[in-house]
Amino acid sequence: MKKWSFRVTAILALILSLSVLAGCSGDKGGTLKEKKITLIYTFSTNTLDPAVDKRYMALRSGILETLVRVDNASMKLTPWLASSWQTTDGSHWEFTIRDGVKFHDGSPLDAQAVKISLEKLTAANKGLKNNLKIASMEAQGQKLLIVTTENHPGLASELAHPQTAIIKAAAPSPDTKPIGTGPYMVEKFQPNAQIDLVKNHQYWDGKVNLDKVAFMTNEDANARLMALQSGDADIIMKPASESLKTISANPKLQVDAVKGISRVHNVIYNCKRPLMVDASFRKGLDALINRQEIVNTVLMGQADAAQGPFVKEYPFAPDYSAHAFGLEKALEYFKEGGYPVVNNQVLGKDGNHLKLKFISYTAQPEFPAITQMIQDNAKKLGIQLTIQLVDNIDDYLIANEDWDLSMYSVFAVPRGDARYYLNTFIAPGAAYNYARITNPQLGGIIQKYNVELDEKQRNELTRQATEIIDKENYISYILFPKITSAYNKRVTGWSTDPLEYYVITKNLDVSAP
Amino acid sequence: MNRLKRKLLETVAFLFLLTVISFFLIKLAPGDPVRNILGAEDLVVTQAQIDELRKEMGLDQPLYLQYAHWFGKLTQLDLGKSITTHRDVVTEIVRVVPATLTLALSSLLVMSVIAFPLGILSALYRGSLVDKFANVFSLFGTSIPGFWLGLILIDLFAVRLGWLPTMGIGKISHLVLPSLTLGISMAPPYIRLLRASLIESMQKDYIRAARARGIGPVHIFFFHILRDSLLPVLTLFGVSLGSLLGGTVITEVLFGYPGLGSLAVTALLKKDYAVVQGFLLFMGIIAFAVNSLMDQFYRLANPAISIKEVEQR
Repeated sequence: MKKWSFRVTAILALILSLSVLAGCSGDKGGTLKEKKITLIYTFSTNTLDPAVDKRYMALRSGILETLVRVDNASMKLTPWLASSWQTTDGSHWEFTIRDGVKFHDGSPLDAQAVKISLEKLTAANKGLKNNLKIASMEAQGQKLLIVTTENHPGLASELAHPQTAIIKAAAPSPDTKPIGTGPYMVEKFQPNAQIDLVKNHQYWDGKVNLDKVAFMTNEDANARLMALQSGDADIIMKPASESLKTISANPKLQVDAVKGISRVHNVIYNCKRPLMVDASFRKGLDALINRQEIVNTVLMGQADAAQGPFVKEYPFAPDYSAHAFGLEKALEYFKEGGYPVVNNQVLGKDGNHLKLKFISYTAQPEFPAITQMIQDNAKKLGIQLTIQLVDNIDDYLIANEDWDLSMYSVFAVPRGDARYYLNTFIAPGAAYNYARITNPQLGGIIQKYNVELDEKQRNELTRQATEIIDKENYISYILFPKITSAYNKRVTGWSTDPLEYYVITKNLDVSAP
Repeated sequence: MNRLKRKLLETVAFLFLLTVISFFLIKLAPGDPVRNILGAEDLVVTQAQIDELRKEMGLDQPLYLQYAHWFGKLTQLDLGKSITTHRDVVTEIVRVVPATLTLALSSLLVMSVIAFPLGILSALYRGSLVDKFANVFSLFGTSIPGFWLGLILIDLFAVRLGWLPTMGIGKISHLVLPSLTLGISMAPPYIRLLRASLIESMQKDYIRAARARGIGPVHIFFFHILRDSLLPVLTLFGVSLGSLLGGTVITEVLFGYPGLGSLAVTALLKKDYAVVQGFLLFMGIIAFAVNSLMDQFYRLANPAISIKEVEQR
C-alpha cells in the first residue's frame, strides 16, 4: 500500500510542479527608449465609432477632435477643429475649418470632410440629429455653411458634444480603428478592455510628447488603485475617496482633484404629490439637508456644497440664496406652510404623522449614506422617510407617481451652457421633468432662452429660470462632486479634466527615470 | 440514432421555451432602450421624440407581436443588431467567446491542478497532514468571496511581488490571476467529492480482487479506482464548465477581462434586448453541448453505461 501510494504521490507532484512553472512564465518589459504611459479609466466601451459610442472613448483617448471644445479655464466654448464660427440669425451658420489639419492617414481636413462626417453621424444617431437640427450643409473649401431647421442659437455648443467628433468617413473600420485628427492613433483596440495608442507624428497642434499610450478600463476602484500601486498604471481616474490618504502617503504618487463643474447631486420633489405641491413644505425638507456635513463625511471633502444646479463660476449662475441647514429653520418653513408642530414634531394638516416615500439608487455609491443622513434629520422632526432603492432610477421616476422625493445625479452643464438642463429637466413637459414642474413663467423663460441669440441675454434668462427654481425649491441641490485622479509622479503634463472629455492630450509626458 | 433525435427535439423545445420566457421577462421589466439610444444623458430629448422612436422600433406593439417578429428573424438565423454598437448580435457574441473560453479552460486547469492532487492525496492518506490541509483549504476556499480572493491575489502577486500584471488581456500572464481566482474558488467541492468518491471506490470488492491477482498498484489506481471515482466529478465538471462559459462577471470586472458575463450585464443594463436574447440562446446551446459532452465522457469513463443501454434495448 505504502509503495504504490508513494508512486502516485510522485506522479502528482510532478504534474503540480510543471503546472506551477508553466503559470509563472509571465512577461514584463518594453523598450527602454519608448515613452509610454498607461491610464486606467472607469468604464469601458465596445466600439470607438463616435456615432454610436456613448462613452466617448475616441475623444477621451485623443484619437478624435470636435469642431468646438469647452475650455475649462474660461468655462466657455473655444475653437478646435473650427477656427471660428458665426451666425447672423441663429439659423444660418458659417464654420471656418482650421487650415493645415490632417487626418491620421495624411489626407487634409476640409469643409467637405467635415460635412461627410456630420452627415454620417446624423444618419446613424437620432439623438444628435434631433439636437443639431441641420437642414442642409454646404462645403466651400474651408468654409462649412450650415442651415438649421429652426432658430438654433445652441448649435456651436452642440458641436462640442463628443459624439460630433470629426472622423474620416471613408475609414474601413470606424468602430475599431477610427481615423481622426487627434494627437494619437489607434494601434490596437480590444473592446471593453484596452485601446493601444501611438503618437500621431503629423499632429496639427504641435509636438506630441509620448510615443505610446495604453488606455485601459476597469470599473473596480480597488483594482485601479492596485494597478497604480504596482506600477502597471501611471494614471487612474476616480480613485475611491477612502483610498486618497493611502495614495497621498506614497511618495511616488500624487492625487489630483479638481472642482466639479458639471455634475450635481440633488433631491427632486414630486410636485404632484399632495404634500410636495407646497413650496413651504419642500423648503422645510431642504433645511433638513446638511450639505456641508455630507461633503465632509460622506464625500470626505471630495465635493463642494451646492445651492443651485450650476457652479457659481458660470456666467449664467445667479447669486443663490443660502440654503441654511437647521431643524429650527425647517420648523419655521413647516409652520409657515400651516403644518401643526407639536413637541417639535411636524404633523400633517389633518393631524396625522407624516410618511413620505424617498427613492434612491446605488449607481452613485454615496447615495445610500446621503439618503440615510436626510432620513435621520427628518425623523428628529417626526417625519418618516421610507427609503426605497431602485435599480433604474429613470425608469422608476417616469413610470411611477407614488414617490415623494428622490435622489438624483445629473450632468447639468455638459457643454458650457444651460440648454440641456433647462430643456430636459425643468421645462414643463420635458422628457425628464421628474419634479413635474408646470410653472408657466418658467416655461416661458426657457422658450425665450431657446431662441435668444445674444449670449448675455441667454445668461440673463438662465439666471431668471434658476432663480425661480431656487425660490420654489422644486429641487434641492446638494453637492458638486470633485473629479479626482491619481498618478505616478514620473508623469508630467497631466491635469484632470473636470468634464472628463479631454483625458489624453499631447501635453502628457514622462520625466527621465 | 433515435436517442440523438430525441435529444435534439428536446433541445429545440427547451430553446424555444427559453426564448419565450426570457423575451417576456426582459420586456416586462420597466423601461426600454429608447432614452439611451437618443442619448438623453446629455442631449435634449422630448417626449415626442421618445414616442416616435418607440413606434419606429416597434416597441409600442403588443409583446406577442414583438416576439413573433423576433422569432421570424431567428428562423432566418438573424438574431438582429445591438442597439449600442449597431453590429450583428452574432458578431458581438462571437467576439468575446475566445476570451471567455480561454479563461474557462485555464480556470478549470488551475482547479484540476489544485483539486486532483489534494483530493487524491487526502483519500490516500486519510487523517494525515495533507488531508487536514485539504480540509482547511476547502473550508477557506468555500468561505472566501471570489472578488476578495482576487483582490488578495492582486495585492500579493502584482503589488507586493510584482510578478504578474494586475489586469488586462492578450498575454498568458494576464490569465494567471483571474484563473487562479476562479480555480481556487471552484476547487473545494471537487476536493471533497473526489476524496469521498475515491475512498468508496478503494473499498470495492473488484479492487481487492485486482490486488489479489497481482496487478500493479499504480495501474489499479489510475485505471480502476480513479476511473470509477470520476463519474460524480464529471457531473460537477459539466456544471462548472457551463457556468464558466456563461461568464464570470465579478472576475471579469476585477481583472478588466472582457468576456460574455460583462457583455450580458452591459446589454441588460442598456436594455439591449437583441443581445440579451442572443446571449440566452447561446447559453441554452452551450448547456446542451456541455451535457452531451459529459454524456460521452460518462461512457468513456464507464463503458458499463453503454452496455446496459444496449441490453435494455
